[in-house]
Amino acid sequence: MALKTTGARSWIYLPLAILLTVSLFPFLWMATSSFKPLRQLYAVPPSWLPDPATFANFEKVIFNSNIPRYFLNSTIISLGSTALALCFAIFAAYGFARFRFRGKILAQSFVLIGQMLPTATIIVPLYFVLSYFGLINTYLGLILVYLILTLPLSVWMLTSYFKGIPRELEEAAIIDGASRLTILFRINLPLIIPGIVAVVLYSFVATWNEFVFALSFATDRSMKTLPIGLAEFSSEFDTDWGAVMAASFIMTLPIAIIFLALQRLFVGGVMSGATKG
Amino acid sequence: MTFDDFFPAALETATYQDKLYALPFQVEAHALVYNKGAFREAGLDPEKPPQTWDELVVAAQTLTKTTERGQQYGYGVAGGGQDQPGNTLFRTLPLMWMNGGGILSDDFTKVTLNQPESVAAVQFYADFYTKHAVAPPSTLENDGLALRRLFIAESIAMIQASQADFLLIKQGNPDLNLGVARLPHPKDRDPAVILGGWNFIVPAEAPNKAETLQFLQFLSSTENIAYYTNTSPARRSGFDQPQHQRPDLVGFKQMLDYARRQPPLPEWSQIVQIYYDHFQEVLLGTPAQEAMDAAAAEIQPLLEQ
Amino acid sequence: MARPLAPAAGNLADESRPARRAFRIGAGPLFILPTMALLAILILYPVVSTVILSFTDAAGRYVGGDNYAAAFRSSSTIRVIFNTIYYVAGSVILQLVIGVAAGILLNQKFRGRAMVRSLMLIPWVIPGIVAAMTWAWMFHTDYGIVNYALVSLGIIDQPVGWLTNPSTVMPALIAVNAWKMFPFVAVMVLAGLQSVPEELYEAARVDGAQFRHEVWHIMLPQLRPVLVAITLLLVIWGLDGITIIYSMTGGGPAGRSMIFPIQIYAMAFEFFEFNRAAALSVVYFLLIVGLIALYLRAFAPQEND
Repeated sequence: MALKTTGARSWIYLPLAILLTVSLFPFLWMATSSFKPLRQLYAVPPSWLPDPATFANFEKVIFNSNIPRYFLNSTIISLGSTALALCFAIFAAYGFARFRFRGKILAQSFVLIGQMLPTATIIVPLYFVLSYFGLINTYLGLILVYLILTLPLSVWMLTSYFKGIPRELEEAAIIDGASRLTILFRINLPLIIPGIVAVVLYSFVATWNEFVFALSFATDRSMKTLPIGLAEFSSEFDTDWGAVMAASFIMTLPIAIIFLALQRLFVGGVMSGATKG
Repeated sequence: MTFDDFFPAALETATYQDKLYALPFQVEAHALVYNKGAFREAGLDPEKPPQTWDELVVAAQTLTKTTERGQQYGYGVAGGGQDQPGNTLFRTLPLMWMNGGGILSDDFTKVTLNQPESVAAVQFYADFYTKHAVAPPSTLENDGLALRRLFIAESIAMIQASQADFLLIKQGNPDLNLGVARLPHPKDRDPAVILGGWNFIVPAEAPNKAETLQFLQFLSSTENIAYYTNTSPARRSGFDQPQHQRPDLVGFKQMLDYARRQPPLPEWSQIVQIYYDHFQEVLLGTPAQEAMDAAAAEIQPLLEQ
Repeated sequence: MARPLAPAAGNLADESRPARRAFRIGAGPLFILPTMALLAILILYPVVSTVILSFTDAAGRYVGGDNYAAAFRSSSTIRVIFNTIYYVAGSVILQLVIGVAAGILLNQKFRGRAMVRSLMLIPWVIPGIVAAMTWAWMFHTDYGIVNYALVSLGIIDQPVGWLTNPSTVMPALIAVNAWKMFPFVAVMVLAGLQSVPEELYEAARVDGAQFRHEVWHIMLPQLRPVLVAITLLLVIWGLDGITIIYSMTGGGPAGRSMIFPIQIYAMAFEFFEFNRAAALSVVYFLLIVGLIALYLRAFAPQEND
């Protein structure tokens, strides 16, 4: 891998230290707070480390709250919507990247507008539509409305990736008489794996964090997603900051681990691997 | 069955256009909960909680001091947080009532929020934070729950709270010696409080209606209503049952006699939100009269819809 | 194959060539049809429906501009527009500045670079709601670590109510939003920097360029297409993001951090004024269309379609 720099510059360690502190401190503070008993949370000056550490906050979250259920709900909904969006987007993005046809600009503008449309502007009619079909407080309801977030984003990003593939690669196959679908799946898709990984990650993150739709369309305690569950956590389960931080910690840990594991693929694949010859 | 034994405000919540639609079951009302140990430390008599507004201010000032645990504040003011605008309403509307005011007139056609009685009550409550500084600096982020936590952590010595709060405080800090008293009122006037609670409703289209009504009849007997409630029974005679004889809870029971219901208007939640936004302005330093005038100007069109 | 496949590479695609004969007209629409149909149902219908709802009342009767008049009569609407623009513009600028700096920094060679790159992603990876709750706790007036640190360091004398003081609430929320999203910018900048040809740096170094010259004359110009694309994304996400504000302040104190999406939500699902919520939605939609049109006007010529 060709590096674009001459060598380590000594001055960069100061900004690096600041960058790391800013990035990490809130996470660490959340982690230590989650092990503190109430009296230590409300202490001035604050204690840096819990003394003694208590697991009461975690017990409360895992055994005496709905957070595990919310976690399951969020996982199902995010995975469902991400996968569904990817299926549709691969075709649409390929169509946009490789074909010229009448109305293409219009269609692309529509996708772009869909991408830009803030979700809050359409919650009222969506609520009516979902209740008409009995989809309020269902997984399917949220998976479908989350396509509003994931589908335009996926189409938009994948189109760029498809455009990055040289046409010459396809032309040889076309001369051999391969069908369009074969070209798409055999030639193009393997080349945009980094793009697909990125799209999946972005879609997943976008739906995992979605707030407005979840707030409006999943009001039942058995259907709420994690963001709403956590926002209402302290008033609903009558807890203090320690338990809120414990819930946050639990919510973050698996995601952080998955991401850090994937990150080799992510940073390696998307950021630098793409330049490999 | 007859309903003479039920708290009138509870019946009112179940009534629409003079017809009773629901069975009041549990009721609750806020009272003043205070830390007797803090009273003693500050040289106040823990058996003589403040009864009037003036006494409340003096007590809060005396209780605001640095203790060995850190800074202690006299009185908790609900000025923000998540459980809003309800928490602030439950703490300020009673003050307006006590003072002869309110947010709306009795027939719900006029805003009385900017009348002198109401404005004085709003200013009185905000002053704990803005003028007397006997409420913590975090007041604008504290809802009822946060105030309870701060009370448990012994950072606040007096709060307005419900019976449920009281039991959770005991659980959260068993070492505290708690007192419960009637909410302080203006001199020569009665206290007032908002009624909270739960009613049973049988929807018109529900199946097995006869059986359900029979069941509710069973539930509403004095013994059962007293036994199955986890706050207070909606009928007075329920308090004769042994589990409602706890002397430490008597302050909550006393408040039920002063309880009133919130106006049953479809626009009420919007009205409360408008009021709450302008109440926060008062906490931020706007004079109560000015803020409440602005709130009244926004609320009045809603009543005319 | 030496071409980068990052999204920024879109303008390298060679679309200006004439279509090949093998790709007959008609195939393209087939590929995009399923997606377009789905988007029509999910987006086009609700948008049209919102417009219709905004001109009717709860019973479906046409009421002209009444809902809009009600929206603009409320003094809060102007403030909401201002807050929304303030929040989005502030967030995006801060995200870009920090993100570009972090991206350039992490493109340098140093020991432990892979590790630092991973750790820097944490703010972006953790769910928005977690970031919001954690920062809300850190910003707590009485017990927050931010106030403690700043007071200890002598930067401020008194604890500041970061989320409750009208002059600090928006900057604090913007800072949280910037903290949350800057790693995304940094990642994209890193990807973009990978595609900068080494020859450019070498040529510059032959001319004796310093690091800051490389940043200013090579990196930033080369990053321009990436930045144009991600700015649009950041603006969109900023306009749509309510998690941080909803869960940290709920729009308070006294509406000082109220933004459009929360106002629409509250109007619809807290006050059940669906038609007025629809009118607000249309106003918000027009505001966004205006902003994006301005943006595209400024930057579209550089795009290749």
